[in-house]
Amino acid sequence: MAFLELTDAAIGYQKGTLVVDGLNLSVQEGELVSFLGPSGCGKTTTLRAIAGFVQLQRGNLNIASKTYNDVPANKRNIGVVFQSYALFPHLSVFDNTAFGLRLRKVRGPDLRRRVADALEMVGLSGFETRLPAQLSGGQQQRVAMARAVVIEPQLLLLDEPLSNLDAKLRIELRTQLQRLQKRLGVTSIYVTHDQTEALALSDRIVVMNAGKIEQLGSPEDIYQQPATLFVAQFMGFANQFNGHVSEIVGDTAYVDTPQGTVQTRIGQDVTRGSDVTVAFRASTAELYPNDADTPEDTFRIDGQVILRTFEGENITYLISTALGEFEVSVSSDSVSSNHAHIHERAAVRLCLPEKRCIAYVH
Amino acid sequence: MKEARFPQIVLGLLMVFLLAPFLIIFIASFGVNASLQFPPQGFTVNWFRNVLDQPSFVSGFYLSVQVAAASTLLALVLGVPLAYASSRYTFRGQRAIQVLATLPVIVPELVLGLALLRYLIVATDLPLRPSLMLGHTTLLIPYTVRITLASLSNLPYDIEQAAISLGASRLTTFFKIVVPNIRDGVLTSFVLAFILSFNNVPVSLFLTGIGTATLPIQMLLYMEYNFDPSIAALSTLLIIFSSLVVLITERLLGISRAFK
Repeated sequence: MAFLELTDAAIGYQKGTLVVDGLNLSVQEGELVSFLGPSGCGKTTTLRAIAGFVQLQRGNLNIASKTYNDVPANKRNIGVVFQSYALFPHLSVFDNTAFGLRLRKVRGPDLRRRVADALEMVGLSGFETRLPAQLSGGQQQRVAMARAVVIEPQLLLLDEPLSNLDAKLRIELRTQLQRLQKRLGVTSIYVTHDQTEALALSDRIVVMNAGKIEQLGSPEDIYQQPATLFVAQFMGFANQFNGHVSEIVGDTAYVDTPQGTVQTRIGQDVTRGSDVTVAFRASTAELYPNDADTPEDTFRIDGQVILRTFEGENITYLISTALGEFEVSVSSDSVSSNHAHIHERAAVRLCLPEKRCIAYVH
Repeated sequence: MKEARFPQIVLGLLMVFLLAPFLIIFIASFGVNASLQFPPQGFTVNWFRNVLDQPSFVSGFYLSVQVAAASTLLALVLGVPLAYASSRYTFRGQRAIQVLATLPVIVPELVLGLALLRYLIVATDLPLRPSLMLGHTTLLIPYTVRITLASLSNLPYDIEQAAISLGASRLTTFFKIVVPNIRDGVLTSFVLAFILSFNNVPVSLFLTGIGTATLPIQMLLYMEYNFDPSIAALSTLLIIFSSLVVLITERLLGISRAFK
């Protein structure tokens, strides 16, 4: 049995309206699992149910082989880190961190040592006497982390902890969090709407949509082989066109389109005869002037550049084709050879290497 | 750098507008003539002495302080938990309770006083003193509830949940986390409610009787028959008293933070 088991869980704030329904999940000891999804998908609600802030309306929550359905939130020994930091405004950094330990009757030198250790772990030694209002957002969140882990929780829950920080700090804190989690080996659940964060941090990712799990897997699985169109869109498969599956051979689908047949990989439930949406990433397609030689074994679509956006590392082209508008991004280092003449309104040919697209039923 | 003139003038006019009536009363209370006059003639402190010699004023003052203290405390004891419950929980009739708690502000105080007389004193035969206290409590609850609600809205619920997740019970969370953070709001409503009760006339009018009249009512009665500077002297004393209440609270409890 896994360390944390959520079985057939239904969660809602009012009777009759469920935010999450029929959720099954198991988390192994020491694992970091992310709940990833857009706002309103139920990821935070599920987290709050695990924390004990919301009641399960149906189903079971087991932690370490014990039923937790009726254990009140203050008896669960679960550390929670909030998006808003949620530090106690009237208490110093030391007293914030010591709050949970004092409730556990830890006193004197033992208390001071454990608080000092926790603050050192997050790099805030020397800040003990400051009030939260005197700290930056990043520092506040680090205090919140120290406060949550100092009680040696059996489970650590993180609710979009980095969302209120600016981009640079977010990456810095993410790395710090990752190291902290590995070092303590504490089983953790991390809620986020940012796929980069989820990919970077997680042992496994749970992609959620409308109160259900869309896909559960390792970051590599989710990124390379999204099971559904929803997950694909979330993972950056920005381009889509429609087609019809004429044949399936092994794990390859032959999808007929008005522009010819494309060989794709197969998403969930795709069978011969399915009407499908084919999705691919902006970085998958190769772009050539339409009079240049194009590689064999690719699916070719002719089009015209509508917009060219220089983004530093990449150049993104918006291209209008018979199958729709597509975004294609090209590394700006490779611009010299093939792309020198591709400017706005240029006629181009878009080449999709075989089996780099994925077909999904729609 | 050139000083901005206009705001200074506006500020000056505002100060005159606020302080002039008080200054006039203050100055007039030292006049020698037996009717209130401005500018006064001569100088005497007899009217102050007269105020302190009037047993009705002295007993009225004590009653007013008692009623204000009791009704303010009662309004806080009822209002703070009410505000907390209605901001943190959802329950049946929540909206109704919120509206009911605010209603006394909308209803004219004279109507409130009359209703209390008719349905509290006449119906239950309750003595005047507790009636006054209850009546004022009714009047004050909307203020304590509203001000507490405002402070609570500055305290995100996440903070309480953080405390709970760290092992604190609801009660511990309330006293160790909520109370210290809404302290300023509670003190503000204390001062406001105390002064509102102390100065109240319309409600007290219906709930007082022979031997049990608050100071403002005693002043009203006195003025029906006398128009000497005693009232001005008493007003001066009362303004000093109110200022002292604010000042002492400020000194003891640092209330000025609440008005930031």
